[in-house]
Amino acid sequence: MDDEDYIDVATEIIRQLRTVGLSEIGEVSNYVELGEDDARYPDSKYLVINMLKAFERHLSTEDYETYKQAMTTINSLLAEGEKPEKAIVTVPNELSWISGEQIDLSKSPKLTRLRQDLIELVSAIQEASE
Amino acid sequence: MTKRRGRVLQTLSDGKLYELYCLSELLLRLSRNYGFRISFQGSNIRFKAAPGLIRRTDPHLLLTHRQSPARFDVFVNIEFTTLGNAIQHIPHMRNVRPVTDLSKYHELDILVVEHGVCGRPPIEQIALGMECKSGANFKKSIVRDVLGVRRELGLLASPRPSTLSVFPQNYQVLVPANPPTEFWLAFVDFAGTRYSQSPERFGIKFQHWAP
Repeated sequence: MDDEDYIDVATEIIRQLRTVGLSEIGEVSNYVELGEDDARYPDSKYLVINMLKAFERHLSTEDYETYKQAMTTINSLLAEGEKPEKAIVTVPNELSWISGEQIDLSKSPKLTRLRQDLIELVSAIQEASE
Repeated sequence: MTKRRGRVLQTLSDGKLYELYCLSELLLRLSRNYGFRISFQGSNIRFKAAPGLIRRTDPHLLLTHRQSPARFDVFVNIEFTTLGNAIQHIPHMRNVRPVTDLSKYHELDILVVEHGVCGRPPIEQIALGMECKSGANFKKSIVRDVLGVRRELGLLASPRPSTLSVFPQNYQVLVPANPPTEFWLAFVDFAGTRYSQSPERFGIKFQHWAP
């Protein structure tokens, strides 16, 4: 793949990220390389790799596996006695039209396979140029 | 549940799973490094979509130590009363008007406070505060945010043992602040480690914790 191909890929990634409400990850300014004297905008391949890595980081913060890891750690540290059944998020009473709702973090999606695919894709792209 | 309602709820829970992860990493260090024994009070770990007060009936964790009578509680999503508001109580600043607007409080994602504290704790009762930044890309604006919170947690001072260093023979952290509250910033993006040196001079500990 050449620069033009990577530009097309980067453009499509940015479009897809916008579609799912993650346009922040597609902001090119996030990937500017800062130096002592000036800032350099990334080349297209670097941009593709780093957007994919950022997307994987985002998924890690929503993955059920992260929930399971956190709860396992917490429960392993607790002295004898009560242990939390799960972790939830409660909505403030002021939001009356959805008050009383709870978000159960144990229902987080299982994204481990997708994350692994992304990591492998990034590795393949990095190796492709070497 | 309608799709729109579900999307709103999802928005309100953004970042909360990362806060749970950070809570687990914090507790690990409180146990292994500081030597605290940890117990849980409640049925579920409960995060709030909007920050609030400490209520004793809310689920929380209790920290005790074999070699010290000191006890602490760990809560999530709590507002504390700022230094700016406390300044009016300093003797030579008594003519300063009290703070009455929304700047009277700031929120912290995770708070370790003296046992038994409730409401919006003053800075003297806070042992450790933590901010958890789940954003995929670390931004310099985060540094400005946490420097602001650090400012409102106490005055710059010569390094002294932190409030949590209850058994310094085993483990001691020095904090350049009065009161000696520890302040940790956790983040997912490794790029955040490139911004740590100056904030650390003010007692902000950078923690790159990636699930």
